[in-house]
Amino acid sequence: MAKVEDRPVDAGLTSVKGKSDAEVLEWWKQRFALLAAIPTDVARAGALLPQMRELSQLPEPERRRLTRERMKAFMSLGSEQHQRILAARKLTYAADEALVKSDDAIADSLAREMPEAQEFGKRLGL
Amino acid sequence: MKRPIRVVVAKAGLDGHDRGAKVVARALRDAGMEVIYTGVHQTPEQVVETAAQEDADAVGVSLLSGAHNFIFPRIRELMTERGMDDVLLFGGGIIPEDDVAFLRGHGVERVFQPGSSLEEIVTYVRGAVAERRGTPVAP
Repeated sequence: MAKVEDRPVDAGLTSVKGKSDAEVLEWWKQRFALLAAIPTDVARAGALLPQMRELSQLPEPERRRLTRERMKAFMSLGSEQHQRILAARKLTYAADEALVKSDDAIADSLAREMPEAQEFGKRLGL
Repeated sequence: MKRPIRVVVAKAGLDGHDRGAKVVARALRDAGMEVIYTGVHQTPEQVVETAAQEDADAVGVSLLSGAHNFIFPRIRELMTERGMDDVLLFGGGIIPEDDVAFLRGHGVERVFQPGSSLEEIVTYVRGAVAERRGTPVAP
């Protein structure tokens, strides 16, 4: 019988499920620091995908909550880190377009409830 | 009484390939050291917290993601903040020769690149910890 794979796609992200918003925000800030430190766009894209896959497997309310804190953490980064993450994120469409589009849809929906995110998006030309 | 050397072996950053770290952890253990392996995807904060909680003599960090020039200095910075300057920090992984001097300047005392032998790593850790303690170490 085939072994059922039940390990989390992103164990780090799994560990913050159910934690407070403040703890989740802090975790995302640390995660983004690690992501931005990866020197090549392709490798950074490879590191972005597991967290999107893990988020996509969560119940909708928790997915939205964790994504909202992710957006706040992203907005708190420096401009160089923004560029590095965005450059990698563009590449993730080629790896799993449906997944990234579903992540976009959640983020867009959340942004409509977050004036600071709308303003931020305009500034970055998103 | 001689206390065995305690080593935290950590996978910091976002690469998930830990075969090498596990092999090194086992070699250190087989050499009589107490080894704590953190698992993958650790942040610098988590690595330093583990080392503090475990009262480690040494922290060995495996990095294959290319983020070594960010992660190692951050780990050393956090260790310094917590008064852990006496703890040996060493590393290994895919780390270009050109970056080794930078890392050494940021408190990474030794970088083991591909091709390093397990015996070399064990001998180094034993010697470096003994030097810090000022006494021979067990085993």
